[in-house]
Amino acid sequence: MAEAALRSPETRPWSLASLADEAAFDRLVETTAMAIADRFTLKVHQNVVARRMAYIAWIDKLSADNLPAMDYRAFVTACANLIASIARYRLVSFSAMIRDPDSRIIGVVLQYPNEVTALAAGAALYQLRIGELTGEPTAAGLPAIVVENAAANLARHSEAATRFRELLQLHTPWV
Amino acid sequence: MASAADSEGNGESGVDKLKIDGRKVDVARLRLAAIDRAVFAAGAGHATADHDEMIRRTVATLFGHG
Repeated sequence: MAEAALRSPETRPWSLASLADEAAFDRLVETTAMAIADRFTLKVHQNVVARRMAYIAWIDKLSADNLPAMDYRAFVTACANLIASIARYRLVSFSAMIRDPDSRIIGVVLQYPNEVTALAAGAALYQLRIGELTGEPTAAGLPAIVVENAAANLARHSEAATRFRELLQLHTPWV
Repeated sequence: MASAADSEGNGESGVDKLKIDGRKVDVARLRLAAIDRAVFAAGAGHATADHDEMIRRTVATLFGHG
């Protein structure tokens, strides 16, 4: 019984339902921001009040969305909502400790910290669940210009979050 | 939904003590659980050992070619 509960979608770590909890939402954002900071040797600064506002926006969107069907499109919409909610507020900023002047991607991360964190958090959630479903990776390495385009699009229009799969060139198992 | 009525302002922004309406959180949780069941319940269930590590790997993959 207890084992079944642990395996159930609602109780697994990073299950979609667990992300309705503020602590899990915070941990996803923090882990993603830390992963970006570690990847590029940056220092991460977090604004907990903005993170709270992003969480409120995430919950609001989820309860307000009129989902026509509980299918893969609802999952994609949830990932897009997560991205839009994180990108909307200034949750994180990064400062460079050591900066490679030839690295364009670091410039993108420093210029669009929230958008890059939001896209990475959404992609991580997408990759995690699709990976569990298919056993295949969905993400591939992106040139800096593609990341910059995705982040700039999201900075200009939050609706760009709905196109996160195209912007990040994520594979999809659905036709 | 947090609203002015929900907030217990501390004299500055008042944002740090905002409360989220329980019903909205519950609706969100139920919707997410329903998506999980509908989309992923029939999946192969490939185990992911460490979800934090998966996040780090996704970041490294996406931004590794910059």
